[in-house]
Amino acid sequence: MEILSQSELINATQRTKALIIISSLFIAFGALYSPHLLGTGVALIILLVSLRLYASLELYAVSKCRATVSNVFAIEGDVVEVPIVIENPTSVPIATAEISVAYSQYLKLVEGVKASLVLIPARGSVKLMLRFKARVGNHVVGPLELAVRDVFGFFRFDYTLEVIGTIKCVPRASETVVKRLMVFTRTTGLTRSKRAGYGVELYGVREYKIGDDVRRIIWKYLASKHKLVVKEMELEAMNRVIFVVDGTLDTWAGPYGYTPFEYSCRVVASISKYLSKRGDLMGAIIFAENGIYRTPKLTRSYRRIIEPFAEYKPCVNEIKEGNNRVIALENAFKHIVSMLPREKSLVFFLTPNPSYQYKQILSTIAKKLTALGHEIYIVLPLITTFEIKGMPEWAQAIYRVKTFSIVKEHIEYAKLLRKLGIKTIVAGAQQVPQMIVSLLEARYGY
Amino acid sequence: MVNANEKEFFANLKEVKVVSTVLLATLALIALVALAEKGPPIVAIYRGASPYNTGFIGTYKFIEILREIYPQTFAIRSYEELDKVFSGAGKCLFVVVSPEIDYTMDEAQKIAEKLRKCRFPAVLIADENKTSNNLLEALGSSIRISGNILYNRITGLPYIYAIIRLPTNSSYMVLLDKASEILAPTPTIIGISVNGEAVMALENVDDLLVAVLGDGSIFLNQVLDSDVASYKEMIIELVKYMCGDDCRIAVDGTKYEPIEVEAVQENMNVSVYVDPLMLTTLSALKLFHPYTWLPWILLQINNFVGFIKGLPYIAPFFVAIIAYLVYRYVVGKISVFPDARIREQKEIEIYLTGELRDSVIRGRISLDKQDFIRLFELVDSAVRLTYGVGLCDPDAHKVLQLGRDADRYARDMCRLYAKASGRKRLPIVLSWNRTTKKMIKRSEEFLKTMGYSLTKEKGVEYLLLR
Repeated sequence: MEILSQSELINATQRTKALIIISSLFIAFGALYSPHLLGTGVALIILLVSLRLYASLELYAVSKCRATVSNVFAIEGDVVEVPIVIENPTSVPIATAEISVAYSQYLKLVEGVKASLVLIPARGSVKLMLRFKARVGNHVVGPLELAVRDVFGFFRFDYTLEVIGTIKCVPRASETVVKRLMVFTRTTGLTRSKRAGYGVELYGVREYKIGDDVRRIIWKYLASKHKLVVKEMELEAMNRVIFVVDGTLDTWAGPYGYTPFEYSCRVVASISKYLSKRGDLMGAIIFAENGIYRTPKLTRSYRRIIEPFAEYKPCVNEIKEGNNRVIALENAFKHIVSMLPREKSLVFFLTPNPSYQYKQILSTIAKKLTALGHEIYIVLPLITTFEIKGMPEWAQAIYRVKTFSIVKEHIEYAKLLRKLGIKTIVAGAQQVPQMIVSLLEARYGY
Repeated sequence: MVNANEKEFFANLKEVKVVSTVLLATLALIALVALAEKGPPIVAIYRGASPYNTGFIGTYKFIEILREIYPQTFAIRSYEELDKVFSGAGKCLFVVVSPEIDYTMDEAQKIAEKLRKCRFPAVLIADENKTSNNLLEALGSSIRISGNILYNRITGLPYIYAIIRLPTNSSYMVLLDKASEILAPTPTIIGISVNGEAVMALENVDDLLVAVLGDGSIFLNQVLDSDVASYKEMIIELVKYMCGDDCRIAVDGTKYEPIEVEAVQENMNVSVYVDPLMLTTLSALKLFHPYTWLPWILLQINNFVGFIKGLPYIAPFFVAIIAYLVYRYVVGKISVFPDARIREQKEIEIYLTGELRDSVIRGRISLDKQDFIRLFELVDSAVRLTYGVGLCDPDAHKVLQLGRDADRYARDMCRLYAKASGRKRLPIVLSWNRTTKKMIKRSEEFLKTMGYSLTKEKGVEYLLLR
């Protein structure tokens, strides 16, 4: 890394150039006509030198400044406060510091200012308060970019205060969805499946068949009726569900808080809250260009399910590279396999807008998991239904016409997957939670 | 041993100017002006027995010989220096050789007073004139110099032999040059000329030892540089007798008339007595002194500026050049940076159909034939999914039970679809942009009757997603 000396850090501004022209003229006229003018010219140059010296002192003060940004934990949709404190321990006041706070490009500032002009007193501090609307993921706040000038703005230097804070935000479970699911359950612990199988609840009695466990024979009945009958238990409807959420850059398309990724997160949070009350085992995997975020193992804890969402860091690279998404999905597959138990489990893929190559990989993965005896559902949120949000009514009509081919393409792709035996749903923004809930309901046999 | 890392470190070290050239130049200019302001340099040389004279009749060699034995030997330019030389000393010696200017009583008192700061003071006077008598008086000595030049009675010349017997019992025969008789009490006399006149005496006044020789010539450079070693030996023995092993010696350099360098250059008679190297050095020194050339240069610049000011057409041009040079110089010293507002954090909202979305919202979108086909397919799909017949099926109107307006809408849609898909040519002239927009409005009315919409967030596409 190249280390700049102090003289290289401090630059003169255009104002300095103008002042130099004026002082040069004063000196030139003074040399020929009036010593007073010469004195004025020299005085202006001395003023510049003095201000340059002050800028050096400011640079020293800034280099000694300490900044702190708080780490915040939030739930999606909350307005979170992030206080930033800059402390100047030196005896040099920093006259005018223009401060720009860098933060995750996915965050939206709802109160406070991104850039401000502050005076940091000697042995004093300033506090900036930023309020963001929380959004799922691990978002950084910082570092602080400073542009410091002398009193008249003749000299300036830029400096970065390397300080980072984080906003860790978990998705908010939709109470409506949770309640709707609860209405259909009969107990809060185990759900009756109305099917005979392994369980603790008595389902009925039937005649003994070869192969039945002798411990289930009702001996009293044999003694009184001389007939071999066995107890039949109701199958416990405990599921193992894994949610695989696409967190690649493509899933961040849409208005603030209403992107497919955020919808998916909300759906996962709502359903997992319900499932945790049922006692089902769950797992969540978020795959992104920059890595995999997952629950360590299947769990009944709602808190553990939503933890990976708070750790997830959205990719900041604006250049989309299709291959990265495919690689991320392939990586996710390894994690899914490691997380899946031997018993039949449900795997929900929530992934929008697949490219041709991505579709190939997705269907291959789905087939492999189906072959392992698991039930796979691919939920394809239709991007256009997310991006239409916030448009005027007349514009929505034109937009629908223009993007109808995309809708058709999605529907055709879903049909293709269905033909391959992969359960696929194309869902609009208004449908995703309801559709998944319906699938679960169907599985429980209601 | 320098290891590889250290080597790399030193190799990467940037040459850093601790003090800038401008600062140095400014300081130098201030110094030059200050020197010029102080006045012309006093560059004088001495032709007599001054310790500063390196010529034939100077005593510089004498000082050098003393310094070899007593490192704390100084030639003084003022009597204030005696404070430094003599204060706290054990033994000290004040030497006077053929002074050209008389000692006043005040000066003599001052010297005597300063000598008393030593525990064992001594004075050596070698003088053929009466110039040192005031000093002898102030010291309390009974010895005096008569000032009468002694002549050889045979040759009649002022060169006379004398025998000097030092208290160390050594005797020396020396040839004196224009020596003077010494007036002293008999017991103190240690040197007698061949004519029998006293030429040297040694006296103890309290703790002060005073030695007086009626001739300074034996201390001169030309004598000490000569092949005759006895003079040098005698001087050393005498000084050692008076000083012992450790001594501070002050040789008086105040009583000699300085001569201006120019005067020496003009008067060839004088220059004979002066060291030519010294003369050249001092001349050069005077020439390089800012007082010599700085006022001249400033005067020339002033004259030049005055001349330029007198030229009405040249002066503004000259001002512009000066201004430009100053500007270039100062701007060259600093790096100028456009002082733009600091970059603010961008908040982004990504839209995969971002461009299309923007164009639609801004109303900059134009609809074409393909858009109409899409509109038709959208409405047709909705009708098929709801009623099981296509919009253009022959028995559609029977199944749909459409009203008069809806029926007309369905006919128009089918007619335009046939045109768009190339199955019909009529109507020949058609604006697809205007027509499609119009048909979107009519489609909305039609779909509303079926419970769907193109303009609501949960639009008709949800029907297709079921």
